Amino acid sequence: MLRGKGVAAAMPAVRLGTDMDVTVSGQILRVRVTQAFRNTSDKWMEATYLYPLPDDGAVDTMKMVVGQRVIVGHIKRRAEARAIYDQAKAEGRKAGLVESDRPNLFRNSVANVGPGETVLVSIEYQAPVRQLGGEFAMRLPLVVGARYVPPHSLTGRAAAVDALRVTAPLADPALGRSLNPVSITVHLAPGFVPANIISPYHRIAVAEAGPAERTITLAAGEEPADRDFELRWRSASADPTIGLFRQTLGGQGYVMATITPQARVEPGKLAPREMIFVIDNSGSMSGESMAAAKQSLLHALGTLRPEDSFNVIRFDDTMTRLFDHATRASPEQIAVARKFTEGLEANGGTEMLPALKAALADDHPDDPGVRQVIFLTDGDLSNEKEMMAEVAARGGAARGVPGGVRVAGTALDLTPRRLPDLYAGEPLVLLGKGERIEGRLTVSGMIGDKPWSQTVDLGQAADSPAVARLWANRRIADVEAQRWSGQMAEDVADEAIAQLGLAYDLVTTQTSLVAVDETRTRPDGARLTREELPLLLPKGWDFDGLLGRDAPPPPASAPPVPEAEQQMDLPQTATGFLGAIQRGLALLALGLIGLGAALRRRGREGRA
Amino acid sequence: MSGRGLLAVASLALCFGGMATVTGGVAVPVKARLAQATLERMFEQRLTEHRLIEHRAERTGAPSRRVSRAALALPTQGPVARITVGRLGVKEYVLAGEPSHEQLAQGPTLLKAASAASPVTVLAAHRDTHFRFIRDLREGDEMTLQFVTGDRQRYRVVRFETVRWDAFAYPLDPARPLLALTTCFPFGGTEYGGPWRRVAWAERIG
Repeated sequence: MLRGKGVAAAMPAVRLGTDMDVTVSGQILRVRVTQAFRNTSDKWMEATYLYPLPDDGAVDTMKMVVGQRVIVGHIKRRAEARAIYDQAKAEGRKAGLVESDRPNLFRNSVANVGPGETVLVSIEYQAPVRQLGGEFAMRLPLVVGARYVPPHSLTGRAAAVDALRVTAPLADPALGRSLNPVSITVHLAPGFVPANIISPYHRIAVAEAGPAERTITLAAGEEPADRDFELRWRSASADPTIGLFRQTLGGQGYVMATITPQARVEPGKLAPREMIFVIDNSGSMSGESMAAAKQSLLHALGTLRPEDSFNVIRFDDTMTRLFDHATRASPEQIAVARKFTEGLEANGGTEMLPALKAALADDHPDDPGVRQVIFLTDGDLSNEKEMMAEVAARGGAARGVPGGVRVAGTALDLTPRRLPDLYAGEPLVLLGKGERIEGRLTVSGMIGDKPWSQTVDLGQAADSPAVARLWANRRIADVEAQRWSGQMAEDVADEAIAQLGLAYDLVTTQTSLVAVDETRTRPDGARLTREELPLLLPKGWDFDGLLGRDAPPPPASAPPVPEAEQQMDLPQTATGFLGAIQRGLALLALGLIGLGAALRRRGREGRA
Repeated sequence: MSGRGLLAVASLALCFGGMATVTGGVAVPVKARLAQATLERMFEQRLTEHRLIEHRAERTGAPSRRVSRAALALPTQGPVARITVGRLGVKEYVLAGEPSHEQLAQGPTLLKAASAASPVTVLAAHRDTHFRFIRDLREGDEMTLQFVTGDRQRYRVVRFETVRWDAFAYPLDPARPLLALTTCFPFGGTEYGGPWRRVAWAERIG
């Protein structure tokens, strides 16, 4: 079967169907993803499948359905879970494993699926609803973009194995787009009468399920898993500005506060901005993505005001800065930038790090106003760690706007600790943990050039069973951030994440969910065949552009590291004869100059 | 001796030294080509000998050609194979034995021969002489490996990688027999050393 990664041109033996059942209650969404692994071959199979979840999603439940039995997964440390899974696999028992290699990337494995058999694996996660300018949104990522693995990041075996974990074979478009069909049902109960329900990438059907409840399904029933599902809605009445939820778990109180600053921002009052646009023109962008990125950049250039300054940086495996420094957005300069943008073509590898470094270098850290770095990229890289370290190291110098949170009447462990910059209409989502949830919470900051503050009464929080895990998930993200910025050692961070995962039953990079069937099903003589299910390329990605000759080695052809391989030293294979010729010519030239000088002197002496 | 004389002598010495170094440098690719010509003669001779042995074996009712070919072990010294890349017009004779500097000066060296247990062949040669063509090699290029035993294998280039000299690894149980062409990297480097190696991986197609 498929050994290396690369392109799968043949139909996989194990077929996958995915069903997503989403319940939105208030500002939290809970998603149950059921994956059906159907073995169409006559062999006993092990199948693994890579899939994405939202960045702030927290997986807490796994159930495996085999025939009539339901086996519930338990959270274990990653290595322990792997060992339990491997043992069951070797003994011929059915087993399921959920692992996470990046906070938003998970891998399911199912072992010992018999010929013709179907095994259902269902996982559940929750995430906060996103909110911007009175509009609420949820996004279900359905597609993992092919990740570019920069050659320099493959520093050793461990790095290669890590890169391999976050890549999967791609399905040849010839197989059709019906390979991994997905069906989606959303039960929307936002706590108010929803209006303007839209899905920008899929056709949907909306049915009324109550006065303030709606059921949303895909109009086509099933869709290929080649683009994310997004749903947006608004409130039919006034926009809610505050959401407060709490939960008591194990003697501890948890609170989630969503606060939207309500203030008009007058465009004229905004301080000048410095905008750094970084546009990706690597091979992976070819197709609709490149056109969309160029169009977005052209639009953004049109919104610049004469008092703003800007720069454009483009990168593939090389990088060009349009200007040496950020430049005033005069009409002439913008015209130059437009021309530069229109001439971009998707080609080459994705080396984002040099571009990121260039973008983060702030030439005028003392200038007032906001400095923004905007990336236009599909951004699928395997060396995120390197990138995050760079952001942590340099992004810290960003021009901060003072802001703060104060709690009166109780002690709360709040996250985020440093308040982020918000766009107009964007809410601040605070998560806290403490002995008791009571007292008053005051958030203060600046809107434009005016101070602003808002106070909420924590005693009015509504009960929600999701808050504790959302707090734990945010805390894990904080630990990751501290790790990247070097404030926390690798092993300390790993342990902290493992403890949070075990305490709150969450799948993390250090903890996995494992479910094992008690009965043996695979006969002793039967061999187990392993298959990694191919993924569809995201819609709009150009298969030939990504994998064609002009493109650099895509992730699919990253050095395969099959289970067994043999290291071998390679001999020195350069003669350096060109160097010898150059050195020789240099010596010869020197000698000739010397001879020339000696002869001239002799001539002078002869005359004298 | 006067200052003028000293300058003249030193300059002359520099000129001779320079010329010697240039000659040494120019000799490298020239020797590499001459050695290949010698190897070509030896290779053809060996190939003919093997064909004769095979022919005789057939007449005396020995096992079939395939079996006899496999049974014929590769020589441990001298030319053992010829690698050709049609698109680039490349033809190189491959040597068996230790990849010493003297040997690599003559031609590509067989670092690892394929066996039934491990069907991976690894070749190494200089980036600035015999294996400079790796720079121009592309995915999908076909190459032929003709062994002196008469065995003829066709490969297609499937991917490239750049690794440190001590981080190269080949799969023990690949889906298809593999051929790895390895050389120093980057191309166009004028000096002798460097830790990086460029590897072109090809899969057997016939």
